[in-house]
Amino acid sequence: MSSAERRSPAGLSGGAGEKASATKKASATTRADATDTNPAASETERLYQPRLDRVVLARLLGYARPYRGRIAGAILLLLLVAGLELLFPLLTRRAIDTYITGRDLHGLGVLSLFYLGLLVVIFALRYLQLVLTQATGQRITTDLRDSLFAHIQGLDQAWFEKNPVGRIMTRLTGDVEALNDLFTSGLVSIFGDVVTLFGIAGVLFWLNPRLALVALTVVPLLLTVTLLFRARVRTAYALIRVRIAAINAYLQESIAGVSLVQLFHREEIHEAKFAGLNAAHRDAFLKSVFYYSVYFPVVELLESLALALILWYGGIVSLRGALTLGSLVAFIQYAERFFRPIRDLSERYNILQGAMASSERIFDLLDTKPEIAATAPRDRDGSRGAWPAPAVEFQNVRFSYVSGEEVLKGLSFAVRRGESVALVGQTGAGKTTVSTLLSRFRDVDDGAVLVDGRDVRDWDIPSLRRRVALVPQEAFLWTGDIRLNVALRAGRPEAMVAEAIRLTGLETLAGRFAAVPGNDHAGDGRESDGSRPDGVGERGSQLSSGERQLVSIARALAADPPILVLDEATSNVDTETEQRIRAALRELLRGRTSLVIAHRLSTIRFVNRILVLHHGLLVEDGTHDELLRRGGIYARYYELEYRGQEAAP
Amino acid sequence: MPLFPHLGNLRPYLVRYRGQVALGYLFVVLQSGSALTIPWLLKRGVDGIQRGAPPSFLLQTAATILAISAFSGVFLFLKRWVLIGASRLVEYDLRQDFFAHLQRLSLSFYGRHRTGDLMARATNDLNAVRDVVGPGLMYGMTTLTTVAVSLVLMLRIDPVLAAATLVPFPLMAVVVSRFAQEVHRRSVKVQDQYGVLSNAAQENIAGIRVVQGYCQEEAEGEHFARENRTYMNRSLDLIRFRALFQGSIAFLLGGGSLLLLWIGGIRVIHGGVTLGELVAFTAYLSQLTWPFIAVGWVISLVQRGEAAMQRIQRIRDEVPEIHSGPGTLLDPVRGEIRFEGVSFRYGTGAEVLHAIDLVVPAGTVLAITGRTGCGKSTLLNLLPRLYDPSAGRVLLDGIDLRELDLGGLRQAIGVVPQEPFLFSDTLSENIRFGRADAPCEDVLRAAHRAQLDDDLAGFQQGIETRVGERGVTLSGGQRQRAALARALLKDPPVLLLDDPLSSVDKSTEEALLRTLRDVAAGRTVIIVAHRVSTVRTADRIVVLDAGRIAETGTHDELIAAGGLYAELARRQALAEELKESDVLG
Repeated sequence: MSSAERRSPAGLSGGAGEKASATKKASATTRADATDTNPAASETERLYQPRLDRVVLARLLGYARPYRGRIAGAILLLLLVAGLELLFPLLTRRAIDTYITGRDLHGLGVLSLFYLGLLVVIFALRYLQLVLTQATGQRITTDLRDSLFAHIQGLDQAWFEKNPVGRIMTRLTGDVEALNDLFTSGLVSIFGDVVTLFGIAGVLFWLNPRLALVALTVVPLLLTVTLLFRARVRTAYALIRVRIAAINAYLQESIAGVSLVQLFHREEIHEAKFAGLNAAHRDAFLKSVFYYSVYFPVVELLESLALALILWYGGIVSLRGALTLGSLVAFIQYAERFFRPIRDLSERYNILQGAMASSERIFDLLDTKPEIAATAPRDRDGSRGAWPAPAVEFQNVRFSYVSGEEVLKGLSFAVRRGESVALVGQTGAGKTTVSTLLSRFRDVDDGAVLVDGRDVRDWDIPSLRRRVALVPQEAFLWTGDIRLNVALRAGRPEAMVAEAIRLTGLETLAGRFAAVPGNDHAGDGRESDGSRPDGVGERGSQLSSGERQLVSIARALAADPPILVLDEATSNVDTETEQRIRAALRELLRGRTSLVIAHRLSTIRFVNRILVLHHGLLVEDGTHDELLRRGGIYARYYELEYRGQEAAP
Repeated sequence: MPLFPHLGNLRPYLVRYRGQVALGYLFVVLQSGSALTIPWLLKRGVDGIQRGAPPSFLLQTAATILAISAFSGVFLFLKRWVLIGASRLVEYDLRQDFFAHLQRLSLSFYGRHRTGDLMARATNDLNAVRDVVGPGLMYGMTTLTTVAVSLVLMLRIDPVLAAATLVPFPLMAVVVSRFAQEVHRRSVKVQDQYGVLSNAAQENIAGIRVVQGYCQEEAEGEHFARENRTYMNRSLDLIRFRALFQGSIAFLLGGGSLLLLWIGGIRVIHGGVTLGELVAFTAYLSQLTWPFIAVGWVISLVQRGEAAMQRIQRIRDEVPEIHSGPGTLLDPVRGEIRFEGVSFRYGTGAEVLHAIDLVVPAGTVLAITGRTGCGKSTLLNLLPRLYDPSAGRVLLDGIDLRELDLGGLRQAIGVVPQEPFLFSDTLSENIRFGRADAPCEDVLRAAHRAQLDDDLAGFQQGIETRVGERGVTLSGGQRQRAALARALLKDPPVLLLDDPLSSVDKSTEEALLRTLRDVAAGRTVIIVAHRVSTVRTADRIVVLDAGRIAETGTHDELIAAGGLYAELARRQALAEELKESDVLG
């Protein structure tokens, strides 16, 4: 095997060279795939140009500050290991010059013991250094991930609507991992490389300055070749990424549109087109294979050049008696060690660049401030406004998601304490927006939303949301058991949770989906803490939609809010479940101020009053009978939307 | 049972490139063989220096080293270029075959497999397999050759030193394979936890409204931090073990050098070998290091590749459920359609169509309506054989569809699907979908008939406008009309329209209905629609309810009957009225 492909033991950890680049390749394509299948994400991702930015670097180092002791320790250990490793060629030199040439068996034995001792010491130090460095990297990224997550938690709904889940996930996973690379393979290792380079150069000059000069003439050549190679390969990989993205996009489209391809009998045309993309990708890859194929032999040739120079010039010097044979052998060994860090250096630079791009993206996210601040400037739990203020009041509220397209056009209404009010109206009338504004997921453009007589913008958000609970139209469930989904993680008093589960008739279901050991995970089944409760499945997939609604209702019951906003689900459920939901809703509405966005006739029957929204305005207000008698919009709407339900058993 | 049964499926590909593989192996031998003579030259040089040979001798030795290195370099280049290159060719073929296979699988297959999963197989799994063919094969060959050649060369110099040099390697092989298993086990645990962590974050983000609405931010943060901590601890487990692994390898290699220095030193002192020979062995030792480390790596590549190939093969083994028949259609196709006792279920699910009997005379327009989920679209999908009925049969011009040539059948049928899917290409290419060679005038005429003229005028590049991925830059109505143009251009004797006007406004609907009346002349048309306004002019209307034909007749007959259709019409009229009522006026 060629010496260029030869790896030092440290090379196994991911230094330069084929293996490292092979894995890099793999991860590069995977990462590219991940983003490229998500067009929304990839467009913005590409805009980031990796560069070394002092500000970003300084901020990154800020995260390392709590661990500066460990980092200093890791660097110290690394310096020690790198320094001690320089001793081996010197030991060889001594063995040859003193003991072998001097035929001293005992001396050779003692030196061998010393050599062994050094190996053991380095083994221990290297172990400590690797663990310390990588563990510190892990700790830093764990911290960063925690704070990133916490930050994301506090962002407002408008932001979440703009940013697809996939992109947020990339920040939390891929980008944070890239920073781990920065700390482990990047920053700390560079110290080791520098020490090795200067150390070897120093020793070589100490051994014989002229031979050192001759041997090191190869270094600029190697450096040039490596940098040229890296530049080429980088461009080649950029091209590969573009082409694999094209392949993936086409593949995805062809899978999604497969019925059309078959209907229009286009299989062959599509194959031909795919062949074009596939070939373009192959050719781009062959280009990079070419660069690698050229690079390795050239590096090997340069190393042989160094060897030849040392043998020739060193031999001449040695013949003149100015250099011992042992020194010559040491020279050869040092030369080999000298090449490694140079080859690694450009690899490290790549890692550094990748990490910079990732950290810029992460810091951009961390710098995003929520538009709706969590705490209100004014009193937290002081005056509740003028008594007896209505529990909920909309005063001339105007609101638009997209400027120019007003959803609410001056909506005004009030809900008294203890009153149940239903909001009805066609899709797009602004019903759901009412709930969004009331929980302050968004702020009004004009007018005011008042809860207990106080503008929601003056409320401390947690207090507001504890007072006003929302049951969304689409019940969202976590992977876990029913109890978790009712109590949520912040926890509620056990008694209340049990009561909520009882009132919604979920006891048997809760029993069935109690935490069961996860069994569908890859691996050997011997997981240390493998009892992950899979419970209701991802997004509650193990439950019917009716059951999910019941859980959502139980959740609100357990939270026991004074004011309730209920956005009824529209999905069809069987009669029995429907009855259970009806009973649970009656329980939920009892004794509470409630605002129901009604899709079911049954709920309309529970409420005291009905508000009819039409084109963002309140058009009718009254009891069911009053409104029916009036024969206006509600009457027609009722006929259309609800009458059919009566026919159902 | 072969060791890697699934990778065996690669054989045809390797056979296809056997010339390259054989050539590659030749280059491996030439390269390894020549490179392994360099230590011998080193020995010659060192011995020469020791005996005081003239500088010319040293120059000659040095020059020979350089020359051999250049020679070996050429083959190093060739071996990599040929073998890694071959793996890229195999990758190309594999991907192409996979794609072609996917194109031919039936829709029921796509009902069972998610796009993301198929994508993963076509990308990550394919890469893993390619790595077996490329680096796996290359390093496998190189290691075997290097070990064999260097063994012969070393034995020729000195058996004792050869033994001393080789001692660490079996140990290393054991360490590598043992450690590799453990490292794998621990990385699986890390990966599992990574999945849990990602899932926790993903769920939290997806359910952020509930999280914030119920003030769960802090508790969720703590939960995430706990999972994050577990992830970190598992990573630390892996890190510690890997550090031990790396340290051991370094230790063993250092131990090898030490053993060589010590035993070699003794042998030199006793005069068994020369100092030059000792130096040569040092060089062999370092040349053997990477091949042995590569063994462990190649093994993991092959294991990964085997699992990946299994996943790919599982798809490759899927057989298309819809097969072409031997028969050909009448020329020209008359277009009489007949459903005889047709029932249908998706896979093993509940039956969605129950014994449908229906005749559509050639050249007539049939409309199908009914509630969402009543089986309208399913019925349509049986005609171009996207699915086959689970009982009964469908006939075109009196021939069972299963008897017909699939391509010919689909050629005779134009479909405007419910989801107007467009490919990310130009509008004209999308319209040309069914007739790739259609001249530009025809494309423009089809666009015109589909009421696309005004839209085209609004696009800077007109018909050559690229529509974004899946046509996202177009409105729903525009996409529907483009899909209609696509079907019209094909000029098929049978035209199937699956709710084609649901996203167009009232005036466009009227214009399109006029077009459809023109188009319908001389064709059999089946149109599925919710809107009464779309179906009312059909020759006959069928109302489906829960997979059965509930009513059939003309618009007037059905209205007069006062059944399901009449109720539908009444409610739609009401909704229309409500939508248009202007409260302020």
